[in-house]
Amino acid sequence: MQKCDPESVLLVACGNTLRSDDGAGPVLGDRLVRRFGPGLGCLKVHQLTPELSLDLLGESVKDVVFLDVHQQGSKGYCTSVEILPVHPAAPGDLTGHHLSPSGLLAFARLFQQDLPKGWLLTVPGWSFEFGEQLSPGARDSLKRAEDCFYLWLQSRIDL
Amino acid sequence: MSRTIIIDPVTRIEGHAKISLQLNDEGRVDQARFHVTELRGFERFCEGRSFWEMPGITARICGICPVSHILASSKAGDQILGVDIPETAHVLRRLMNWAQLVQSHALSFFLLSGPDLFMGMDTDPATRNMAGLLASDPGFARDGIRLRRFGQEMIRLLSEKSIHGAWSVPGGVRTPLSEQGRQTLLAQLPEAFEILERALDRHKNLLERMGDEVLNYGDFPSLFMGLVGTDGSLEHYDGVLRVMDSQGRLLEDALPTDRYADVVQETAENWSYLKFPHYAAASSPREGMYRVGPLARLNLCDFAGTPKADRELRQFRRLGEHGRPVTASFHYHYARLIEILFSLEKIEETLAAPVVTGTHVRSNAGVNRKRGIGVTEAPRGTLFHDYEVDDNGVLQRLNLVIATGQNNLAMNETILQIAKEYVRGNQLQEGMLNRVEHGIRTFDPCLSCSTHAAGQMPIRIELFDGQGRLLDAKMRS
Repeated sequence: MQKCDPESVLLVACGNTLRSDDGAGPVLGDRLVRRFGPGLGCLKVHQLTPELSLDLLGESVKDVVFLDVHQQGSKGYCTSVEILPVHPAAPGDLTGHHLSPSGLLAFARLFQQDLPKGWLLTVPGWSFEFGEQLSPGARDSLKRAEDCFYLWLQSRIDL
Repeated sequence: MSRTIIIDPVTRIEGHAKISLQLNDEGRVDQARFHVTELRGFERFCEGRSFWEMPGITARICGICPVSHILASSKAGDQILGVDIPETAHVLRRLMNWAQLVQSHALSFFLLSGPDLFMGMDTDPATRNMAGLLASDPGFARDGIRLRRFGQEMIRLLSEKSIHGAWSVPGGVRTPLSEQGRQTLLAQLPEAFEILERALDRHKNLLERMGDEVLNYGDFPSLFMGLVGTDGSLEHYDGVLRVMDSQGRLLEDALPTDRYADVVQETAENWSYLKFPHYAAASSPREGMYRVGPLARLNLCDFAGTPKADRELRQFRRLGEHGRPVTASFHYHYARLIEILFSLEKIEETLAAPVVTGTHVRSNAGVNRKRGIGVTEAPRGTLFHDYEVDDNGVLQRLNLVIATGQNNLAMNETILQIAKEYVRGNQLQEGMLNRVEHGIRTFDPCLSCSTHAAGQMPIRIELFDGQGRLLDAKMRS
């Protein structure tokens, strides 16, 4: 298995911190940087746009972990925290100027064939109304997300 | 039997809209309406807020051009404070505005309009999109991404955020530009110039085979309005207002921006949330229809003021008949590229000046005036923020006049012209629908700004007969 250290991991935290649980990704990004050190790169963005693809291609970046929230109960997601691999999208999935993680990886491939590995770490969200507070459920999920990231990192690194 | 065709919503623009076309008994289009169907009401709910908050609040109107709102709002705040902001702050705000033009115009030309322009209007919509562009023309897509990235990176370096950075404030800006930041930007400029040169070449080649589109995508007489420098130069941040007719005659010149209400009259229609500004002195809204944005700005200015942009401007002006203003809306695309070139030249020139890294960037004061009017040229056209406050700086009234709104009448006219040329019979042809949409895209409208509404992207088209019966419908997402 390819080994990496936290400094070879780039977090891309998506969400709007003024929309309650939608901001869980950026909040999680801050927590992970505090726990694993400032060497862990973290980009906080409202949405994924094509030019961000260039940020994935830093020489030292071996893994990109997208941090996002999924609506509790939405199809295709489990009810808890999960981290899954992400692969570059097929062309039909690219339809707007804001992108999915796999869409962003597809754009990154425009510039470089050898991409970092992509991962998506999501936490469930319940409330997406205006507000800067996370719902109790989302707050609870953040701790599990930290642990999930730790386990994932362990699988990628000799800590 | 008269019929109505509805395109709902329009895609690859910023926001949610639909188009309806009214056909007469002979099956010919005789009316077109561009409906903007959402409202968020910033002008109302901002009443009662402090003017200090307004750059941050109005920035949230839009994720594409928040810089324009931040700057216009800050300028209105400067007037309420009654201060001249420090020279470095002034220069940094201008830099921010040029960076905004670069990133926004790059998005519009390369990624939003690029699939139509370089893959063809009749190409299957399943492939005529960014993904198709990636596959068919990766070099062009790469250029678009890199150029937009340059503008976004510049905004991020200045304000620490590429979107919604509350950096410009009444009285100046919060933080200066570091020497390291200046060097970073200077290092990226050569590539940006190279990309732009390639894009200009591509576009000129394109024009040679787009004769029909140039003629039919909104080529009609209208007025033009926008800022120019006090010396008549191309201007995006300060200056005075100018209004020109399609013959090139100046109807207003050197008008101070705080007198904008003398020339801009806003009306409303019950079928759209987007207002219909027009030139107040005209005999009717239709007669007072004016266009703003890149096309208008290049028509209005006497010269650009930078070597490369002036060379391009001379070529651009040959597109107007007999030395008159360029009236084809399709040339908004070319005008955007020239404005990117101009912005890159101004950025290069400004970064070379020592004042750019000065550290005095903010003037402090309290409320000294009860009214402030901030005007800038946003990527899509002239933007007005007009605030009235009480002694404590609490907003009593505000009016936001947005570029896309000012192009509203012209967008309706553009749709009508395209529909008259391309709508045939009872069937809805994909190529026709996309041409109608592209007519709108030439203006690069930002409906999020103009109605302060959130956006949607799928498309639905319906065809009705005169009795309102559905004859045909198409949908894509």
